[in-house]
Amino acid sequence: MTGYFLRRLLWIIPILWLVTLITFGLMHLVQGGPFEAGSGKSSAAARQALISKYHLDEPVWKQYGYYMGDLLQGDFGPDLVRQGDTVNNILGQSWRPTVELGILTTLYASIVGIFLGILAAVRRNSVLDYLSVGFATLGASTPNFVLGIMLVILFAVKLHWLPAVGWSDGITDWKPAVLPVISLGSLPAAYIARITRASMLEVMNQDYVRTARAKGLRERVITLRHIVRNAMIPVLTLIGPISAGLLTGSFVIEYFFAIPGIGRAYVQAILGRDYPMIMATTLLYATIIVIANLIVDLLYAVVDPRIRYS
Amino acid sequence: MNARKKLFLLLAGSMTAMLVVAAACGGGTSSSDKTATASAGGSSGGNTPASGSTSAGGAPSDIAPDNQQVLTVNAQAEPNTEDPQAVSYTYELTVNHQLFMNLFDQDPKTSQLTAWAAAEVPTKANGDIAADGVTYTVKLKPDLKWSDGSSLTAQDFVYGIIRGYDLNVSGKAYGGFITSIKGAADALKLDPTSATYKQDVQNALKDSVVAVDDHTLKLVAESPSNAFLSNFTLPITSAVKQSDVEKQGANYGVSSTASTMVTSGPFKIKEWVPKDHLTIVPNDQYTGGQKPYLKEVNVKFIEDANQAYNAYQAGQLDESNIPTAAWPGIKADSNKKAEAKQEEEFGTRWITVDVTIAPWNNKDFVIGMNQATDREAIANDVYFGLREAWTAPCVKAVLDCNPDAFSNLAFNLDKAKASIAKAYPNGNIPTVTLETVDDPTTKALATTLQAQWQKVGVKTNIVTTDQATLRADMKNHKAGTQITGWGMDYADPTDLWAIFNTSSVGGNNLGFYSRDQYDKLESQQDAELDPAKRKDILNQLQDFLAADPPVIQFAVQLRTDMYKPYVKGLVSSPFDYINYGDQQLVNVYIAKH
Repeated sequence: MTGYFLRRLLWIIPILWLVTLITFGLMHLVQGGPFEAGSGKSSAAARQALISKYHLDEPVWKQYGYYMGDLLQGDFGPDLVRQGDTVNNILGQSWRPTVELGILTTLYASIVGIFLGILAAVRRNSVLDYLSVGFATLGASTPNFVLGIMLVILFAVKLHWLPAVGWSDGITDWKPAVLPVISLGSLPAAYIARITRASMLEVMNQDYVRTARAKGLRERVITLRHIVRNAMIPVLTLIGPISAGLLTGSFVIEYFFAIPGIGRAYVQAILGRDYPMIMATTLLYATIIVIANLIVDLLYAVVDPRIRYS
Repeated sequence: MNARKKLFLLLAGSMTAMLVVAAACGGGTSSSDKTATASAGGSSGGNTPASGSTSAGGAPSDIAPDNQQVLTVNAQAEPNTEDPQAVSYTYELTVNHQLFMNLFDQDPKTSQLTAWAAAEVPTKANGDIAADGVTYTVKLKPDLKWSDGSSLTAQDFVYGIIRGYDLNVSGKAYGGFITSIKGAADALKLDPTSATYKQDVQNALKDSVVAVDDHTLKLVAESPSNAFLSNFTLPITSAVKQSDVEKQGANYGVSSTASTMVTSGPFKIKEWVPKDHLTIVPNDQYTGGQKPYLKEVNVKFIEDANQAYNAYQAGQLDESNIPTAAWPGIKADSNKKAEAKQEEEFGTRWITVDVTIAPWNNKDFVIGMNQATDREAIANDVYFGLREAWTAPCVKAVLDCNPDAFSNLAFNLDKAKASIAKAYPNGNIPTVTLETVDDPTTKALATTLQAQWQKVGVKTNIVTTDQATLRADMKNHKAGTQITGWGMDYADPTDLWAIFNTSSVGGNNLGFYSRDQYDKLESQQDAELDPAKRKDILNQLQDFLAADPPVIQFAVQLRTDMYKPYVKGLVSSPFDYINYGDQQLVNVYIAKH
């Protein structure tokens, strides 16, 4: 197990190197640069001076060399849009809301999804089941920004119950988190609900469940101890990739709700051709996904004793 | 184990319940329950002018208590910096204008140059413009101070103005924009990567930007220029405190050091939370004019226009821009309409055409496309009245703007067909490309133009892309067109007409328009100090542009914002660098409500 873990850790290095290579190449293939005319009022000479200062007029392979030299020293480079600031500094300021949004959304999606999935399975073909399936279908078919618009119009504009934009300052200031979390979390919650329901129904038909009933155990004990526990194995393994996706996939929601996170910085960086910031955020997201996948693989062994890595 | 499962179910249930109930438990921040933090206004209290400042003549009778003097506005995007020499975008300049004094300012109503840090505007009559017409003496107001209490001197202005020529600082902003100072052209030719660059820039300007004493500056123009003094309203010419700049180094003006920034204007930065908001509070040491009534201004960074408007309706903002699609609904609602303010800006919208490539290199074709453009339909159907149909590149308020000169470009399908037939007698008109950014209004504009131009036999290929690609395509002569315009920095017409100069090609002249005769006329109009003669030259210049247009002009920008009824004292400015209201927000206050 330890050997497997170490090997997987070492594999992260070439994967991330490939990510830098591909991203750097693609980024420079796209038209436009950070100092194009029309983005400010400076003269052509002033812009050329900046292009030279940041080596953007040199061959791409050379620029990649400069970038990797800095990166190996832990320096993501200067921010080309916010001149004077560094990418390290901006990422340091932006990570908290993104991580908080990711964690809260994962919690929301997991709790709501599992709860509705269990409810639907236990009350199969009842109104509750139809409601749960209806929620899952609606959640899966409504884009998060559309849901966000509807929630904002209802809860912020019409009812004035919740703010339309912004992010929480701390745990006591939870209101700004409600709408973004629901908007972002409804799709994965629906997915988890469907998987939970299907898994529950499969387990409910197992022989050991019938045996438990034959032994005269109470239905609640059977559900919690024998059905839910075993039905959770595929659900738990799903939550890993889902949480990685939520941590890295909140660009639209961060932009829409004006959340000061990395997702918003990423979108701005792409639009502004802020090369160092694009590289840094892509690398960061790649690292999160690679590590989340590793954790999920290790979790398989934890939740299912039949799986052993060598 | 059982207990853990119970806890799990309890958590699941309570979380769901909480999310439902949470929304019902309270509201967003309403303006009425906002209070300034204890020290937000510093210790100045009230609006008693400091020594040397202009008295407000007493506070307005309907002003709300100090703890309610909090204004929350939206900057539409986060500033990249608040370094005056590096700011460029409206969302940066709007805030910066509250933080740093310039020598001069502009009256938001009359557009006339007014003294700010300067004691008065130099004129020949007051003897501050020398007989040579190029040497200006600017006397500063007495007792000007930085926010740290130290004296602000003429040397601080010298440092700031010369720093504006350091392209490592200003290259992405207004660097190279001001070329009328003697020595500026030499300074702008220097290599920014050279080890002696800063010293070389200083040497190039040492005889033209001079501190005669602590309170007197000497400025020398390259040649007589009507617009010369107007340049000193721009933030790039603000005084900055040298020791502060050197202390912060490359971090000067960025969010992490902003709260310690030494400022000279009526406000200073209290905090800057990246990607969320910045807060400015009154600068107790400000002696450049009236002190603000407001105790705190929160500037939010909400980029999505619809969400900003939602936040305004939810009570999170006291001011908001209006999304185009929302305007018809606002106009139809008398309550909402009462909160909207609409005013003509010193800015026009046009389609820049690349006059070096076909078919735009044929002036008859460009004239024909102007004539084929139904501006009224665009103003009404695309912008729903948020833009005004307009045929001239200048707005009425610009000195000696002559809209009649451009009457030949007015919408007229018969004339359009004739002009295009003149350009392409055989009828083989090339398909034109209209590259647009991916936003609903711009795309609606593109499809409207496509339909209008189809009526005169011109096929239009619409390409949707992002701004950076579009700029690169223009630079590389691939796009051919760009929907853009010009927001004026100051009222003097040079600010507008200079952008069609050959010297602006590659910078603000995106269509590569280069005509010797135009260059000559543009240069003459700035140098001609006799108003009547200047008017004559400006008329010739406009006639020239009407006969050989560099753009397809279609609208005047109208600034349309919503303000809560309790926000009083706003005097809208038409200039490019102000998002909202009064030039310095000093007259703005929250009324009792």
